[in-house]
Amino acid sequence: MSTPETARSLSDARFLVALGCGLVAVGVMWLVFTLAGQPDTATGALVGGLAVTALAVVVRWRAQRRGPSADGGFGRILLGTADERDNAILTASLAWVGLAAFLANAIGLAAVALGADGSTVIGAIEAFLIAVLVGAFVAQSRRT
Amino acid sequence: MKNDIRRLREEAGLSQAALAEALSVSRQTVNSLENGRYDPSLPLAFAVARYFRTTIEEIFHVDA
Repeated sequence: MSTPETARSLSDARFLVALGCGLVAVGVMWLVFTLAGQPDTATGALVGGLAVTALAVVVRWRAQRRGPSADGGFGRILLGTADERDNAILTASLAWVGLAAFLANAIGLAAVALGADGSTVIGAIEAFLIAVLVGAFVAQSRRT
Repeated sequence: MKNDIRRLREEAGLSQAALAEALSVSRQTVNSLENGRYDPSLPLAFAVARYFRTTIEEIFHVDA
């Protein structure tokens, strides 16, 4: 079994890798939209992607500042110091997201068939699934 | 599943946070265990029994 320090170091490394991948993805999106002759979309993707990345860094920094004894399950998950109950809650929450995805996609397909804008529907589905994840996580935390 | 974790913890004069640290879990997990809202995994159940120097059957009781 790894020590908390080892777990934290691994978590830091994983976070940095994820951060790097996120920045690369944002850069690729900016490049693709720029080459496609859509500079406004490229700028929007760049600003939005960097904002989300900065938010992730701030959230993790705040979770680390509170220390390993932080009572928040979400904070422990971000720090890589989640215990078995935290993992069980996260697993159950993601299961709800999976179920909700079926419903959301079906509704999204119907909306597009009825004339709704595809990119708007995709954005709405993503926002819906994030809301399901947050709601399920809170509900599971209180029940478990 | 009912258990005697709270009784054993109080007899040992421990806070939930202290027991959580000893078991390498969060204080919330200890609280959930004591209130019967969360059933531990087998490794955690063995860790709890080992910590209190007793057996799993002495601590955890299947609901009738």
